[in-house]
Amino acid sequence: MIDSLLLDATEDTPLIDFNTETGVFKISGRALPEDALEFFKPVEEWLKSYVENPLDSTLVEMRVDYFNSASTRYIFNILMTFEDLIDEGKEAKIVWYYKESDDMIQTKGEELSSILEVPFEMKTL
Amino acid sequence: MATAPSKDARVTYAIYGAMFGLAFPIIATLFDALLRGSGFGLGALLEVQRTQPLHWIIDTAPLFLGIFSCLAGIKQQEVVIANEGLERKVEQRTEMLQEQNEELRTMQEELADSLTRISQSINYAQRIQEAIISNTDELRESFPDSFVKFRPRDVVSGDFPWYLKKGKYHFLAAVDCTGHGVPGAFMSLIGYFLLNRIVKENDVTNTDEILMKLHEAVVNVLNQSSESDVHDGMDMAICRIDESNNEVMYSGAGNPVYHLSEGNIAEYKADYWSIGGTQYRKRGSYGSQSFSYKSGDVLTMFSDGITDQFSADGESKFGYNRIKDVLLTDGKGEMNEVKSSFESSMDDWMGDHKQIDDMLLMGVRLK
Repeated sequence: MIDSLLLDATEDTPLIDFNTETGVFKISGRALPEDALEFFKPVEEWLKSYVENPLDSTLVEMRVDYFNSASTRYIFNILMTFEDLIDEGKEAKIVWYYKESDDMIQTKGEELSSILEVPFEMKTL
Repeated sequence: MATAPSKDARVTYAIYGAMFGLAFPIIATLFDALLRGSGFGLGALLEVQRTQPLHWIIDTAPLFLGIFSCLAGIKQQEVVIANEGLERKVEQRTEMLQEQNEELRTMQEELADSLTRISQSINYAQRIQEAIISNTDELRESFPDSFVKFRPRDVVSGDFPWYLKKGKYHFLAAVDCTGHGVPGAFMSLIGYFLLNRIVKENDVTNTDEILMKLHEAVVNVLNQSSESDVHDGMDMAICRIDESNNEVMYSGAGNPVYHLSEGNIAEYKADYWSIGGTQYRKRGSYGSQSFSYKSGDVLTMFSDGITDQFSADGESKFGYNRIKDVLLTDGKGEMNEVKSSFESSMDDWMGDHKQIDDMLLMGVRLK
């Protein structure tokens, strides 16, 4: 099993907390880095290695505040990775938290839920 | 400035000490001789010395004072040497600080210089982008009561309005490229020229096909194979207005269109798929929606830089409803008023919060 991945949140990048001991993967906060590739590339690389030797069950908790359009594409790629786990017979689930007042984030969650072939749950914060 | 320790202080102090000490036996002997009244001849003085043992003790004064003075001289010498060391250090530090100061000043000048050149470069780029993309005059020729609210985050913009008249159709799009600033502006030019090519030269007229062709072209232009790290592209809403039968055909990649008619807003939702990138393995094709309109109806399209804008306290977002509110309140009046009403609504909303993305809002009153 590879080591957990922890990137603390900054003013313009989100918290990435992928814990391979508990199987809970958290992404939360805002993502508006000037260079989205620089930030997300290492996360994608890490996930690639994780998928090769994953836990039996992975729970993804999304507490998104704001993602700019470039970051949204990387987030989509990241979430799509969990489809591979399902394909391999592992368990994976995404929980999408949103503020009741935030119809932007709610809409994004609903769209992702209809596209991704991963069990997807919407929860209000 | 002396750099090596010298023996000066030790020897000088010892000599002065001994000389001062010598004064004691001389004065004591002379004084004793005076008291005895034996005169000051050499024999008499020797006699004084020989007969009074106290003088023997006093005679040692030059020796002891010499030794003590020598010790004081050594201490003094140490202080002098230490002082010299300190002075040297202070000098070195001062020199170092001056050098660092100089370096900082140079760095500051270089930074200021870089900033000036980058700003100049971006400002110049902005002129080019504006020259290419400012076709709002053409839009106003066709639809005099219309507005484009365009607010780049960083001088150049990833958002752009697009208008083209082709045959009996008017094409109108609000395009939001990934990124902002310089990378956004690169993408905007790619989008602008590809849209022109697809509609103007390749005669594609259905909005869903335009979006699909645009997607394929962006993937091609940016060499977006599945291995590519470049996921960039654009979200957009595109409308085709057909005045011959009062019909609008709309397709959306992520962004909706609002149709304001007789005080009601009809919202047409977009497909999820963004233009460009290979991130969707099971990407669907784009759909289109057609609706008829009456003269005086208003079409509104926008980028998510508006809906996603945080409030002054950073807690909530502008959202869809505030755009609708402005349209419902002021949509009957002139579009310029809708624009300024929207501007003040946005200014009040964001307060001192920084603008997070480029903003684009278009309103067109149909004839």
